Amino acid sequence: MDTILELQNISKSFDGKPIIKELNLEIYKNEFITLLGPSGCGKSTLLRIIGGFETPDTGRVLFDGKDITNLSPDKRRLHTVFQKYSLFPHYDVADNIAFGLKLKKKDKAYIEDKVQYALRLVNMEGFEHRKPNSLSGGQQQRVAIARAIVNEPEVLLLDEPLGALDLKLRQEMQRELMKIKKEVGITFIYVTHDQSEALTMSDRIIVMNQGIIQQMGDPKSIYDEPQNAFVADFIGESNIIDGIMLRDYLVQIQGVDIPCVDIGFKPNEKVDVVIRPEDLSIVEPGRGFTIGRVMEVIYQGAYYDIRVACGDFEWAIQSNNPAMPGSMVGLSILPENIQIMHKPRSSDEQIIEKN
Amino acid sequence: MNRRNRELLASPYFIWSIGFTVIPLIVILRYAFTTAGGTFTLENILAIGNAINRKAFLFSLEIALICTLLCVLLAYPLVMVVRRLHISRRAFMLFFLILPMWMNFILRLLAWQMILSSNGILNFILQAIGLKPLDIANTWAAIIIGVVYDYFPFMMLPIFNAIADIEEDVIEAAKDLGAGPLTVFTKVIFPLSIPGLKSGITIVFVPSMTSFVVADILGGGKLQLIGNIIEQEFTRSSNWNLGSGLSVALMVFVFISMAFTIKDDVVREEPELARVEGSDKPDRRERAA
Amino acid sequence: MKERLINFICRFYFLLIMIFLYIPIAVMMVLSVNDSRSRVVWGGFTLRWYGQLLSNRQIREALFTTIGLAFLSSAIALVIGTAAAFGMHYMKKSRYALMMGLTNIPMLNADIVTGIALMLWFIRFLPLGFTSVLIAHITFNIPYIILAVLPKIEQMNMSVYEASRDLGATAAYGFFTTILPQLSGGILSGFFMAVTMSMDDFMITYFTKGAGVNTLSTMIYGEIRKGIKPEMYALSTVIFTAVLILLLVVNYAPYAREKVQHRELAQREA
Repeated sequence: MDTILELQNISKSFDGKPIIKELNLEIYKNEFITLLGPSGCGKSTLLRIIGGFETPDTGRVLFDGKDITNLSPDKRRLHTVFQKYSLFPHYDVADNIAFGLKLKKKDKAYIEDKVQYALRLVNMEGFEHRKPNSLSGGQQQRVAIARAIVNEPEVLLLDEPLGALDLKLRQEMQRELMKIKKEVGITFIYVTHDQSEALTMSDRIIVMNQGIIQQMGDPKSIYDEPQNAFVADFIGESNIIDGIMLRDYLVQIQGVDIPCVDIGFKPNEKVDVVIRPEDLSIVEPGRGFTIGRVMEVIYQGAYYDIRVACGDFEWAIQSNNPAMPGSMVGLSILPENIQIMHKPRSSDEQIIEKN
Repeated sequence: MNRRNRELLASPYFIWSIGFTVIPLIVILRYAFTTAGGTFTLENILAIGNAINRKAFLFSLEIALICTLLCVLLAYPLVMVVRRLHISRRAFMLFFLILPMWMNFILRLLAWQMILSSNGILNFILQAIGLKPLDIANTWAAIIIGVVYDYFPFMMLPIFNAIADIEEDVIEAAKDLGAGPLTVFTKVIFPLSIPGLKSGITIVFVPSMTSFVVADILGGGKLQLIGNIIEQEFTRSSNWNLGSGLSVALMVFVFISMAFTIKDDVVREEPELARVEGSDKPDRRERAA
Repeated sequence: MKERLINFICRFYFLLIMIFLYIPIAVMMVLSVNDSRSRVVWGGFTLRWYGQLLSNRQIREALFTTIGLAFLSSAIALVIGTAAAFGMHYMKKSRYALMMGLTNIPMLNADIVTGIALMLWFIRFLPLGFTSVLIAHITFNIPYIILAVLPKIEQMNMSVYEASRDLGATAAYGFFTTILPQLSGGILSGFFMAVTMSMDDFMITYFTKGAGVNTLSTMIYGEIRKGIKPEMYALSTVIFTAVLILLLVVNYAPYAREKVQHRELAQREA
């Protein structure tokens, strides 16, 4: 795949507080890449560095192989869609969209044409002469997207563009964004803290925390094979419990030996064991690998969210069948659904664990 | 309390306004349209066309236009400088601009008289750095400096506030779409500052025409603003009807010219840009109606 | 390089404006320690004008009148104006526009016209004196309060008040504990603005004051031809310095405290 953007060794701190630490990343042509992480993880700063609104303390940004680290935003061939829409309040919708084209001194017919095309693309035909403050949040964001796309950037940066919208509208806009992405066929770099948004839309997800990349990969690999406790915890809900890797294919949790499929750990190495709630099933007491008391059962529509206490650990289980609160149950798991991870070693990773 | 009762909270102010804003205007109108004997006349109003009065009026107009323009030309660069240097805390700006008013108004003007006089501080400095001394004491230039000095803060503050209200995102969006610093100013910052500019002009223009004290102290008594003429009708000539007539003529001129510059903005409770952020919320007027 | 040049020009411009705004004040401060009754002769350094400040009865009276007028008129304007802002907040568009129009008349009209119109009206029923000046000052102060408080009312979070009522607060208790604190910023800055404008007013006071009463401004104006008493420079310098210190404390004390807290917090974390 062709690389369009390359971040080399980027560091950035504010007031002596490091936000991004020696980060390296390659972004390919036409991919939908998502920077995912909790607030303050450095994802927005990274996007602002790519957009040209911040200069990194160290490192370089390469665009098509050329160094653009110190280029001002107006000279970059990429555009940003901001979280707060940032439409020009004194221009109507058409003038907002035409802003970039007029600066490039395009002729009138061309601009008119492109504005119409962009309005169609974001489903906003007929809104040409409305002022931004008469539009709803979702409509404003559509205009903001049209305003950026109409300039035919090679990369579109989206900084939590759906963050201010309510859930239903957000899901609708997610589908629409994917449609637009397919139609214009350019690179999207998308920043969000919403893991379901990231899993739905992305070709590739970069999970960030504390200014470093925790894991990158396609949505399925991120979800199914989290590489550390932070990713496991951040992406979906997980049971993360201390374990000891007795030998290949055998892990011990709470004193119980359980078969698994992982190999390559030191004998008796302390590890983190990650089990997704939907991979656990409730069985007769004594038939699973452990026994516990049902503490809580909450009906979630598609499934029951059940909490089972075993010693000092409380398991989260998603089950199609309810359980009786207060009753004793067994829990069982298939070996391939157990994910074994090294305990964090570096100080950065320890910070991650604390969060 | 229901809304009806809550509205009544404004009634003391309403009564006060009638008593001390509206009625005085009616009284001055009565003086303006009558002779000392009490018969109806238009002469007091039309006296604005007399040679001396017209000269003073046109001179005031000239001074006011120049001063307003100078205030604008000084204010915009300062706003941009302040933005660039990140001295953008509103409290500080208010503090910085309003503090000089705590040195007495007349004394400030006397200080300018000393600075600008032929053997004053300005000329001392000019000569010290090898430049020719300037002879601006008792000229219209001195009046302009005095007026600009007095009213600059009132131009600066509303423009500063309007520009401080612009979301940083909006400016970044313009840069992102290819606008350089100059385009950002002409296409985004300036248009969005217009409500502030308008209120600045409203506040500065009128007093510039009438500050007779400034003309007294810095104009050396030779140059007369329309304010000086009106004042003299009340203090020296004691022709109150004529003084009122000239005041009313001035007032009419002010309201007409303001109607052209600011149109409906005066009665609107907030400039449009103040509503940008909460645009999902319905407009407060609609809600009340 | 280019950035640094622009930054330098910016600082230089800021400095120029600062000099423009503050040089007359520096001049007055110098005059206040000048041991000469003439404004153009430097007679050596002295503090005697400060010593004699309050021994002059006329100056003392003018000072008390000025300060009393400023605070009394601003306080009354504060009550009337804040109530008015609340009332206007609940008004329909047409009535709101009417009230806003009334508020804009004194703002738009030339001070000289306002002063003369009030004087012509006062002489019909009120001897010109402290009361007439007070009424005049209240009249031009109310709009400053309204324009400062109204936007805060618009932004106010009413649900806090409703919550306090829900929890059993009386209307008055709810108002003083939940609404007033939200408005305090606007009320304070409106009050400060009103006091400043009242202290600094010359024109309206000049026409409405009558013979016996003088504020510092009108007194100095009357002395221009006779020669200003140097005590006036000293007094104005004292007032200016007092306000400067007050504003510095009010503006920067909260931030200084915050900074100290930040530092303590940082130390604890480290």
